[in-house]
Amino acid sequence: MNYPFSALVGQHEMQLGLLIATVDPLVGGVLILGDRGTGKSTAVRALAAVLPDLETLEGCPYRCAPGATAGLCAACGATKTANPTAEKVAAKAKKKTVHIPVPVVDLPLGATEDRILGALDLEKLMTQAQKAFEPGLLAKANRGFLYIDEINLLEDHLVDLLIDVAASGENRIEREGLSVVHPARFVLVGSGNPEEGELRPQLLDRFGLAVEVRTPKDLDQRMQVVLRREAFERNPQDFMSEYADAQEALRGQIVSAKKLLSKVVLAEDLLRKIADLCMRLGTDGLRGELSLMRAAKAAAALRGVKKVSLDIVREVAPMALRHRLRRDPLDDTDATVRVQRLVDEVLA
Amino acid sequence: MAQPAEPRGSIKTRTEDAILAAAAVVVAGPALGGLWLRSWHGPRRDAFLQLVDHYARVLSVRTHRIAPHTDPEQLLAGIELSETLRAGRMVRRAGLIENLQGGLLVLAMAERAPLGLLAPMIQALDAQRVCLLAMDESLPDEASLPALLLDRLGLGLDLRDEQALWPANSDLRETEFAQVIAGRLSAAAQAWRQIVIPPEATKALVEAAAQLGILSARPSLYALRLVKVLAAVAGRTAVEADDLAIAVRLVLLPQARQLPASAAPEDDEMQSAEEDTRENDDAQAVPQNEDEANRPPPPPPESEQDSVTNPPEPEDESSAIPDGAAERLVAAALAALPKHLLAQLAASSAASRSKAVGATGAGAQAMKGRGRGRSIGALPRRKPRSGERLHLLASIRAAAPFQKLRRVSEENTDLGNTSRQAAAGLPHRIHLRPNDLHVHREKKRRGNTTVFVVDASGSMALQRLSEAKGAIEILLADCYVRRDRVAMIAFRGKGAEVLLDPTRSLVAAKRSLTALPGGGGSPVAAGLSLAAQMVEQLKRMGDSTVVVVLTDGRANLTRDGQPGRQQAALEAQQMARLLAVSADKRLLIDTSMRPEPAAQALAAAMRGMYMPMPFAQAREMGQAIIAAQSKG
Repeated sequence: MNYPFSALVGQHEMQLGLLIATVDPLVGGVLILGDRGTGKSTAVRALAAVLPDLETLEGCPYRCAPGATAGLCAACGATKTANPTAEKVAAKAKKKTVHIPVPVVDLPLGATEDRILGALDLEKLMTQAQKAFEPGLLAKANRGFLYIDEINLLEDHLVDLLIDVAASGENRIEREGLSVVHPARFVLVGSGNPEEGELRPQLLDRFGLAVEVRTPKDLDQRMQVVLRREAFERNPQDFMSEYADAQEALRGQIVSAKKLLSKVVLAEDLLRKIADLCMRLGTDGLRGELSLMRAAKAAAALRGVKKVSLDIVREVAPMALRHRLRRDPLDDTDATVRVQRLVDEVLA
Repeated sequence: MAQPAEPRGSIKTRTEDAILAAAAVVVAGPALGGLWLRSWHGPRRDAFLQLVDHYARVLSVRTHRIAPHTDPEQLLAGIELSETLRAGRMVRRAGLIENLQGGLLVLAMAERAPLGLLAPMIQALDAQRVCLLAMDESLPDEASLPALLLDRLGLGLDLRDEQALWPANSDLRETEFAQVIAGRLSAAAQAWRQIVIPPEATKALVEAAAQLGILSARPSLYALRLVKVLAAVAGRTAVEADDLAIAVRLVLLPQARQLPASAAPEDDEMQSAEEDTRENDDAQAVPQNEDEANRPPPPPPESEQDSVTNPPEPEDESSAIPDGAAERLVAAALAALPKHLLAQLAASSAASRSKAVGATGAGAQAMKGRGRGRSIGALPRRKPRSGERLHLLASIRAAAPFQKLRRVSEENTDLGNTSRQAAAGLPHRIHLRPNDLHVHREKKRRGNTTVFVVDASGSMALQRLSEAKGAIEILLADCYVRRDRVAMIAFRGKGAEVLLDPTRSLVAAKRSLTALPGGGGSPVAAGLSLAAQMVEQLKRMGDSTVVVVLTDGRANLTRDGQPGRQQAALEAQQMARLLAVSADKRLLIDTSMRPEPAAQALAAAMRGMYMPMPFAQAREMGQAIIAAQSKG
């Protein structure tokens, strides 16, 4: 049983960032920067419980969506093509739509390439002399979340894999005689302490949002953290039922935000301000504007409003932009400070 | 063993702490994460481990000891490859962690364990499925356990200081205290979760954690749980002040990043360790007890590399809190420790901070050896280890000549199976034997670390020093691009110091460079010797090293800080020759106004490139270095 998301103490920015990524996965991944023991892992693992269930075809290892026409795995995709074989149509007919919890997959630091990408199924090979593909963690994370704790300590060659998959949304395996493509669209959530090693700029760029977590500075909050956690561990059932209403409300908020999202508008003058902000910060390309715009819309949807207001943009600007400043590796001015300064100026 | 200098009380306390720690890991293991056991190999550690074993048997808690070279796959459930091959059907094997059923995993030489081995343990610790007893034998100047593991080990016990411990020949199990505890274990295992901690006690512990500069919430939680366990082990239902003090000693102090101002003696040590350039090197001296009480609290450790985004705010907090409960608690916990141990603690808490930069020591590096680089052929391997990729083609090729033979022999021995296969119309399966297996042989790409040795003595005029800094900055940017690590050593005044342990964090590198002051004598030998030490450590981790020395070569202080040009130069030469054999690439940048014979001689002794840089622009200098590096 996981600690309830709504019982987290004092990590507003992280919670908001994760919720935004949930409402609009197109925002891109969430990078959580900060110290150890500040509830990063707890928050990510708690997220699953407040997410509305996924609809999927029964038995599909990649959890393809029933109504979708794109981004399907080979088996589900074949049934949609113009000329499906009779056998596959029959298989499709038997497939029921089922509801499953959104996958939140942990990618441990020591994971091997095989485990992440998937590999030749040794069992089938040895026992049946069959060449089969055994899906890896990327397959498990399709349509869900892929969480990497201490992402800055991740091996370079694994980072390369992720960069490619995160960009293309599909995992291509060409090894050991296998040739497999399967969808791998997930929200990448990474956490780490920048003090302990920097992230490659290419990987940083894959994250739509970068949120900061800090150890609570005031004693009461620190007490709250410890007391709640203790209460949870003493009696998880009671604790969960205490937060059941809050959890349910949060789930409802996410569901309605997802529905509302397509109707949220961002006024042109505000968009102009966003562009101005990004220009003056010198963010590379247009990705800054895009993710800030998307994040602002999702944040508005979470508030249940159809129009993005200035203060919403102000709230999400730091997390959408702080990791996109053109990086002078030797300039150690805190990016957050730089962003905040300009936000105050441009979005006054 | 007579220890007249040591008050009996503290030996008793420390022995009892050790016994309680052993009891706690057995009673509440997974809830406490684990135990960070810092100790050399020796009778005291053996005595402690025997006690743990003894207690584990009392409660029927499973234990299993593993070595750092253990295959990570053993920890988790998986396929039993050779059995699968032999039987021709899937044979599963339970993982070690699963088998322990919440028991105790004992990891020897944990500081050498690769990250790949630690990662599954960390996951299991987070899920409270196992208790890890990590034995750390690292030397004071070596990398200890990676911070991400330390944070998850609730208890910390330091048995390295043998003077303040139980006599070497005594069996801990025989002590009266241990026997009393043994009798209460099973009751405690039942009762500890029900014990309620009064809010004041919680508050005091959380405050104490803040005062000790602990940012993570985990230690506070572990401390609370330990307090419950301690009360239960004492046969009480209520928490007493003693429990809190023990929890501070066993849980919070090992994770401390700073000691509160009230814990006087170590301030001296800590300051001098940080500022020994200014104050001359009395770091080894026994702290004098004169007027510590009146000393101001140590300044926020500005010079420390990792205080970066987190200014040590607990410092302010401790002064802001009117209620002194936490202070008294920490003071009480510290009071039970002998004085010289406090000094050590202060030194090690400072050291552990700098270790946190770069986070993973031997582990991360050792792990890099495998699973990266490109495949350059196949290697026979009866049992592929984790991280190795099976070379299928080579395996099948090796098996091919024997197929007919094996089919025949199988038909003879196992008729049922083959006929069943034939009946099912299955194709003949390939008859692979463990002997056929091949794995990819991968060309290892080793990590690169560039060690900068910077002369910050008075003879480096201020302007030259800033030029040298500029050159390093350019090099740093280059290292960043190549994902190399950098380390920095500076020498000035009476000795040399490591400004920055090997790290990839540019922020930290930049900061340590900016903070570097100039002035004082020129102990070249001390600087080079420290560099040689670091290179040795890096080599042990499998890194290749580049040493870049920036100096005018005019040594005027010996390694022990004695003046004397001739002797100093001689020693510098010796150390340079040492570097010549240990570092992979060496480079000396002469920072004097015009090419300096002393620097040339030093470069020759280093058998490295010599590069005079009169009036050089920082950028040109940096580019010259880059060119030299790529030339090798």
